[in-house]
Parts: sequence; structure tokens; C-alpha cells
Amino acid sequence: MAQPIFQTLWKTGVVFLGALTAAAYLVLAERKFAGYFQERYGPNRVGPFGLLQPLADAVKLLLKEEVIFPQASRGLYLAAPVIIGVAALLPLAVIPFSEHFYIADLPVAVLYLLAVGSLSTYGVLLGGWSSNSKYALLGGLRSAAQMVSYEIAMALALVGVALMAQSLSLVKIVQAQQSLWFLIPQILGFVVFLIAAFAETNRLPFDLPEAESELVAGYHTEYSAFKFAMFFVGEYIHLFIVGCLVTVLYLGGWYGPWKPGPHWFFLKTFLVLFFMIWVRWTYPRFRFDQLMRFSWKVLIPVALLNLLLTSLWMAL
Amino acid sequence: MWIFWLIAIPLVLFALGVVLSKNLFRSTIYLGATLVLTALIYLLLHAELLGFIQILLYTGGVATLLVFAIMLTQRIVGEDITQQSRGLVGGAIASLAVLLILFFFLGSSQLDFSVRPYPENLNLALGKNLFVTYVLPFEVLSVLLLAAIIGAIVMARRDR
Repeated sequence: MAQPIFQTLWKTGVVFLGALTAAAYLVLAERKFAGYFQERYGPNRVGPFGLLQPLADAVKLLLKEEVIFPQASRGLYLAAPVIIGVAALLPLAVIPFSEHFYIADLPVAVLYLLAVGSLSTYGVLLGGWSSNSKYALLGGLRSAAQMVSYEIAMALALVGVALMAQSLSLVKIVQAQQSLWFLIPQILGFVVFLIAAFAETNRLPFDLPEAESELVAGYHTEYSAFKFAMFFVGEYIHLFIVGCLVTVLYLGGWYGPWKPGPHWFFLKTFLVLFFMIWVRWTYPRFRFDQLMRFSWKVLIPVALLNLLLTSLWMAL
Repeated sequence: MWIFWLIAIPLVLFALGVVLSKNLFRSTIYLGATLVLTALIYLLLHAELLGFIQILLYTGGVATLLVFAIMLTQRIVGEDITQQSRGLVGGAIASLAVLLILFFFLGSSQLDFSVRPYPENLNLALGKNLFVTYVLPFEVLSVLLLAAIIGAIVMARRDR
């Protein structure tokens, strides 16, 4: 399992660049699909079918003026986008893209994912607090309450998967799904995980932290140029990772009807992401009290029930 | 070894920041950083499970709730809470004394510091210990925590 250091390094490089590209084109995919869902074309001016749009956006964001407001708490204000970016990239270290291609096979990978995931809340809170603006602050607070609540449901759903696979390693979890995807025995957990994933990525119907119509842009209202790009890219890398995780945990990872390999992984990830984009452009936003009530009174009890049923099943 | 110092020095600095910072919000953020760095020390000691649980529960749970509470009171209610840090000298003397005592006893103790090999499946061994051998103390602890939570809610909402 211990691989030479240079191998880890080039894999890290490939995964890093791959994730950045995926995030950039996820933005384009989102805009394109949004266009089709609303019977318009979406971006189609830069390059064929708008394929160069992400590059144009990146250049635009990098060339913009860096603005730091005098009333912002400078150190924390700058730390927030860094934390978001780092916390978004860290889960990539344990995701197995195929049977042999992963950076690390951690024996406690599931815990690692949850631990690293909880760090991004800090980026949001710091961004909201240090901007010294009421919109950002309200966005940050909403986001913290939402992320903490939905993290519990997500963790409980993950325990069900770990119980079935009898391991916390993601590679072992995928290997346990060779004959039957966990989607079927863990259908309750799958639904809970997917709903919690929408909340964790701050997407509609749970996008209250940024709710444009009420909070301008939420916790990153006061950020511009490269710092905004960090928030933006972080958000889409997070989305990409959620797609990968659903694939790894419930859809059998690299296994397919024939010839297992990374192509199945990416096909399934794409389908999950397409579903998430589809939902975003279909459903309206929840109200905040509905959001909290739903998490504590529906999602967590269902996750607990799933855990109980799984334990009983495994004990028999 | 240099990795240890790379973690340990900022760890001490952040810990000092927790007690010395005047601003309660910053103080809590430093606490979060301190807890993450402590978890990194656990990772260096190959205690992965403990390290990630530390980040998940303390940084992601406890410290986040602290930050949340402070943000609510400070920016929204408008009440400004500053950390007083009274008794700095006494605190410094007490912590130095604890450090010296630790040094003295660890230096003269007969404890076995040799590294023992881990069990083949660490998670399994830990789980067996927690949920089979020591299941009663574990459950008693969780009941105690539950009682503490209910107690806190009752005390906070006495007026209703």
C-alpha cells in the first residue's frame, strides 16, 4: 500500500489539475443545462458551443482589481477563501477513481471525509464575520446552522454504508459493491445522503446562505477578483466531490455491467451531477425554519431508522 | 522530527492566542486552529482515528457552535463581549508549574515508552473495546452527556 513518493506526487498533480478542470467545466455545464431547461442556449459566444467560456471567466476573475474593504478584519478576511479552497480540495486525497488510481487508501477514509468537510464551515463563518457586512453575516450564520445540522444526517447515512462494507476505507467500500450496489440495500441512506449533499453544497432548494433575492450573495458578498474565485471554484469542486462520493458510496464506483474501470466512475459521477443541476433549476427555495425542521425532524430520524435496519440486517 | 516542530510551534502560538486575544471571536477561531494542529500531532503518532475524530467533533462541532453563539450575540444582538484575561500572571505560574511537574515525573518514571505494534485491524480492535468490553461505561457516559444537554436547555429556558 505504501507507494513511492514520486508516484503519490504525480497522482496528486493529476487529481488536482483534473479537479480544477472539472470544476471549471461544471460551471459551464451548469450554465448550459440551465439554458436548455429554460429553453435558451446558454453561453455560446466564446469558442464552439461556449467551450472556452471557463477560460474567459478565469482570466476575467484573475485580472480584476483586488479590493479589501477598510472595515474588514484583514487577516480573517483573507483566511476565509483559503480555508474554503483547501477544505474543498482535501477530500480528493481519498477518492478512488478506479481500482488502482487513488492518492491514498486511508483505513479511516470515511471519518477523514467528515472531518475535512466540517472545516469548510469555518471558511463560510469567517467570510461572513470578517466582511463586517450584514448580508455576509446573515449568510454566514445561516450557512453554519445549515451545515452543522445536515452534517449529522450525512454522517448517520455514511455509518450505514460503513456497516454494510464492514470497513471505513473507500476502496474496500467499492469492492464490497461488486455484486450489488449499496443503492439497493441502502436506499433510505442514499436518499438522506443525497438530500444532505444538496444542503452541504449550499445549492437550491437549500441555498439559503446565498439566497440572492434576500442576501445579495450571502457570505461572499464582499469578496471580489481572486478571492471570489476561490469561493466559486471551491463550491464547484465541492459539488464535483459530492458527485464522486455518491458514486463511490452508493453506485458501485468503478464497477459497471462489463469491464470495470474509471469510465464507469466518471459516467456515474456525471449522471449524479446532472441530476443535481437538474434539481437546482427545477425547485424553488425552502424557508429557513422549514429547512431546519426538515433536517432535525425528518432527515435525522430517517437516517437513524436506516442505521437500525442496517444493524439488524447485518446482525442476522 | 522537523514536521513535529512545524506543527508544534504554531500550535503553541495559536494556544497563546486563545488566552491572550482580546476579541472573543478571534479567540475561538484560534481555538479551532489549535484543535486542528493537535489532531495533526495525533496523526504523526499514527492515531488516525483519534486525529480525525478530534477534528470532526471538536473543530467541526464544539468550536463551530462556539463561533456561532458568539456571532449571534456580538453582531446581531449588539452586545460586545471582550475577553478579560484576568489573572494572567497567576495562570502563567500555574501552567509553568504543571510543565515542570510533568517534566520531572516523566523524566524519572519507569514507564515503558517503547512503540508497540498496532493490532492488524485498528478500527476493529478499537470498536471491540468500546462496544463490547467497555460498553457499560460508554453508555453511562452518553447518558451523562444527554442529561447535561437537557439540563442546559432547562436552565436556558427557565422563563418559559
